[in-house]
Amino acid sequence: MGKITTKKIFNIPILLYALIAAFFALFFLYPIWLAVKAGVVYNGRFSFYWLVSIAKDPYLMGNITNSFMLAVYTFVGVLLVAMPLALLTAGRQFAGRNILSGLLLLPLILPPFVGALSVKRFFAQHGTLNRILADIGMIDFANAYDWLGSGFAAVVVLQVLHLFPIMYLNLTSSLANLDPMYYEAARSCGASPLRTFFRITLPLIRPGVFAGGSIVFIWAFTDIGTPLIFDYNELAAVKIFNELKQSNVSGSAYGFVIILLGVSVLLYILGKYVFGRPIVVDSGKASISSDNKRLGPLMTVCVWVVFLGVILAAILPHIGVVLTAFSDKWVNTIMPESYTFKYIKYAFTQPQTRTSILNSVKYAGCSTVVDIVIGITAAWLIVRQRVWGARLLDGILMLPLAVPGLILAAGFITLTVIGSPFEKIGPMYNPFWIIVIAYSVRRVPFVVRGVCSGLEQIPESLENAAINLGASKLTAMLRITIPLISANVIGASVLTFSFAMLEVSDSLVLAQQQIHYPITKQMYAAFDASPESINIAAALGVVGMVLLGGSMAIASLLMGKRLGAIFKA
Amino acid sequence: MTSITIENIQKNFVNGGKTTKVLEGINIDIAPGEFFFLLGPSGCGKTTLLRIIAGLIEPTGGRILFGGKDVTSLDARKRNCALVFQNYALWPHMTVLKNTEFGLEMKGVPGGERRDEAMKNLELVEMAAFAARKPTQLSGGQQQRVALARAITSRPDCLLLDEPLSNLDAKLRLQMRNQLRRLVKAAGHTAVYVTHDQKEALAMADRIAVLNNGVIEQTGTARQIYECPKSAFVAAFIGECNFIDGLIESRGDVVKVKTALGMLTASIEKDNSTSGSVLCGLRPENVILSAKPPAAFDNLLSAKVRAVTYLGEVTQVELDMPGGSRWKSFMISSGNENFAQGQSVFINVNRDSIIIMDA
Repeated sequence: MGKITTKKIFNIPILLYALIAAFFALFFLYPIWLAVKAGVVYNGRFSFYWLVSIAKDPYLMGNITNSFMLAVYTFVGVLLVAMPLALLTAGRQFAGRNILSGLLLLPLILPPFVGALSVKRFFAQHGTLNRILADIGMIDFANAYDWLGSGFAAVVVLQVLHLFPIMYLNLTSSLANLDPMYYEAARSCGASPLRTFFRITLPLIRPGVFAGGSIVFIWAFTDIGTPLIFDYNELAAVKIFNELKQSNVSGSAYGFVIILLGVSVLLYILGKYVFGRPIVVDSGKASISSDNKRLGPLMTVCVWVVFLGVILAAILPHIGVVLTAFSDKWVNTIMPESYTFKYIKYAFTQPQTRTSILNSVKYAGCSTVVDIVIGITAAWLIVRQRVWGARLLDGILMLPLAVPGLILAAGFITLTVIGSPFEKIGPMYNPFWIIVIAYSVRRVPFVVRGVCSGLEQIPESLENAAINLGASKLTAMLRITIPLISANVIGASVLTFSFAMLEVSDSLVLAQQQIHYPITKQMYAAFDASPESINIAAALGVVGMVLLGGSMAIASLLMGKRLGAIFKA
Repeated sequence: MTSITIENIQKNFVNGGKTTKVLEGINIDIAPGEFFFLLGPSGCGKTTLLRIIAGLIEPTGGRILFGGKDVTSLDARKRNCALVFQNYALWPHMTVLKNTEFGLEMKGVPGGERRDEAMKNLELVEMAAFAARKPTQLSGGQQQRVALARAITSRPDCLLLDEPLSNLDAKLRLQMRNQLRRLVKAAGHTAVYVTHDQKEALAMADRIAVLNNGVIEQTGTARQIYECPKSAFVAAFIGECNFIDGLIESRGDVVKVKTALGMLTASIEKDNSTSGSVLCGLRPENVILSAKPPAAFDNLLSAKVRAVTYLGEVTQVELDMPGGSRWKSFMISSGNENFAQGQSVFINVNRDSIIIMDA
C-alpha cells in the first residue's frame, strides 16, 4: 500500500472532490434528510404518524389529488401543444428555422408567476373582461362570472404555455434521432401516416416523451408561484408553503414534503433511467434520408403562422404585464387608455422595491459565482482527472434536477431553525447566504453539464503540452483550459444568473423579512387589494424580465444552438 | 409476380440553386420472377433508382409501370412492393414476429392467419426460433434474414433489396449470398437488388444493369457483362481488364486491330465498337504466358515479368509491355508457374478473348 505521504494527503483532485462532496452533503443531502426526518418523527420517535394522518384526512388527500391532477392535465396539455409543433418541423429545413427555435425559448424563460398577474387582472370576476362585457350591456357587472373559477384551469393553462418548449425540445431531439428508414419501412408495408405515427413513431420517441414529461410533471406538481397568484390553495405545494411561513412548522407539512419528494424522485428515475432510456439498434451505417426535406414557401408560411400563434398565446400574459406596468388608465378597454413611466420609476425609487431589485441581483450574482467555481471544479474532476467516484460525483450533482425547489427550501427552513448551528443564516436573521446557496445548488446541474460538454471537446493534449513545459496541473487548467472553454462557462453562468433573477420557490419561502425580499417575493407581497398594487407588481416583473432577457441574449450569443440542450433531460 | 418497366426515368436534385442530375434516361424491362441487379459504384444513382421504384422518391421525369400499370404517382404504401433496407429497418420496439407480420396487419389480414404466414416465412429464413425476441437481441445476419422475411410476408408484387448484405462481414456475406438467392427464388417474387459488389452481382443475378453517373452502361446476364463488356467502364468495373488502344484495320469474319503491340486479330462477336478508334480489352485470366513461343496462336505478344504475387488459388504476374504499359496475368496456382522477375515471356492471346470497345 505504501506510506501515506504529505503529497498524498494534499492530492488536490481528492481535496477538491472532498470539498465539493462536503458542500453538497451539507447543503443538499443534509437539508433534504432533515426535512424527510421531520416528516417521520412524532413525539421524538420514528413514526409514520404524519403520513398516516395525511392519508386519513380527506381534505389533505384532496390537496395531493389536486396537485396530481394539475400535473396530469399540464402534462397532457403540454403534449397536445408540443407534439404537433415537433412533427411539423422535425427533420425539415425552412427559412428562419433558427429564429423560431430561439423565439420558442421565450415562454420558457418568462415565468408564469409574472404572467399570472395580468391573466388574473383580465379574467377575474371584477376584471377587465367583465368590465368590457358589462359596458356593452352583455352582463351585470355586480354578478359577473368568474372566468378563473377556482383557478385550477388558469394554473394549468399558464403552466402549459410555460412548459411546452421543454417537451418540444425533447420531442424534436427524439424525432431527429429517429432514422427515416423506420417510417419508410412502414410505408413500404402499406401503413398510413396515422398508423405509422401510432405504431412506429410514438413508441420510438417514447424516451423523449418521458424525458420531457418527467420534467414537466415534477415542475407542475410542485409549483407554488402561479397557484398563489390565482389564490388556488388546495394544493400540497401551497400547503407546504403556508406551513413554512409559520414559526413552528407542523409535521404534516414535512409529511407532504416526503410525498412530493418521493413522487418527484420516482418520476425522475422513471423518466431518465426506465422509460426515458433511448431505444438503440446497432444497424451499422446510417441510411440515406428521404427526398425533399426542405419546405416550400407556402408550408414555411404555415409553419411560421402556427408557431408564432402559439408563442404569442404563451407570452400574451407577459405582454399584459408589460402593458400593466406602463399603463396609467386601463379600466375597461382591451388596451390601456394612457401610459406612464411612474410605476417603473417607482420600482427603482421606492425603497422596498429598489431593495428587492438589488437583492435579486446580489443573490443571483453571488450564486452564479458559486456555481462557476463548483461547476468548473467538478467538470475538471469528472472529465479530466477521472478521480475515483467521478461518476458518483456527476450523479450527485445532477440530483437537484430531481428535487423540486420547494422541497429544498423546506429543508433549508429545517436546517436554519432557531437553535441550530445555522440559525444566523436563516430567514429569521439574515438569509442572504442560505438564499445564495439555495439558488446555486439548484442550478449546479446546468453549469456542470455546460462546462463538461465544453471540456470534452478540448483535447487533453493541450494541457499536457503545458505540463510538459513545466506548468502545474492547476496552471495548465487556468491558463490553457479555462480560456478555451470560456464561452461555455460564460454562457452557462449567464443562463443560471437569468433563472436566479426570477426564481420563485426558494425566494418565496426563504425571504421572510421585507428587507431580504428578491423581486419575486416583493411582487407577491405588493399584490394586494390596493388599486395600484398590480401596476407596481407588474413594474417589478418588467424589471426582472428585462434583466432576464438581457442575460439570455448574451447566453444565446455565446452558446448558440447549445442553449436549447440545457433544457433537455 | 409482376413485371417492372422503368421508362425513361430521370431524377434531378436541387440544392442551393444548383441542379445535380442523378439519373438520366433510364430504361429497363424486368420480367416477372426475374432477379435483377442494379450494379455500380457509390454515387451512381442505383439506390435513388430503387427508391423511385419503391415510391419513396418522385422522379423528375419518366414512368414506372408494374405489370403494365403506371404507378409513378402512386404513394409508396400503395405500390405493394416490399423494401429490404440496407440497415434492415427492423422496429426495435416490436418482436421479430410482430415485425414480420406487420405488412399483413396493414392489409387487414386476421391475426391467426397472419401469424401463421409470418411463422412460415420465418421458418423459411431459419429464424422461427427467434420469433419472440427483439431486433436488439439479434446479430446482423439474423436481422437481415428477419428483414427479408418481413418483406416476403407482406405478399408483395415485387421485392426491392437495397444492399442487404453490405453490413455483414465478408465471410457471412459469402454464406448469405446463396441463401438469399435461394430464398428470393423460392418466394417467387420479381426482385430488384442494388449492390456495388460486382462478385455479388455476378454470383446471384439473372440479369444485371451496370450504372455509372446516372446512366446505364450495359444490361445483360452476368456472362454477357463479364465476357462482352460494351465500355471501358464496365470492363474495368467488373473484374480486372488489361487495355490497349487501337485502330480498326478491317472488319470481316475477324476484326483486325492495329495497336502499339502489333496487329491483333479478334473475333467479330466480341466487337462492340462503332467507330475506327477503339480500346481493346483482355481479361488477365486470358493472358496466357509461356517461356517459349507456343506452337499455335491467334496473337503472340511479348513482355517482361515485373512481379509475381502468390494470391492463394491464383498467382498474379505483372508484366511490362512494350511501349510502357503494364498488364496483369492471372493463372491458377498449380506450382508450375516458374516465372522470375525480369524474365522475358510470350503471351498467347486467343482471338475470342479480345474485347473491342469504343475508345
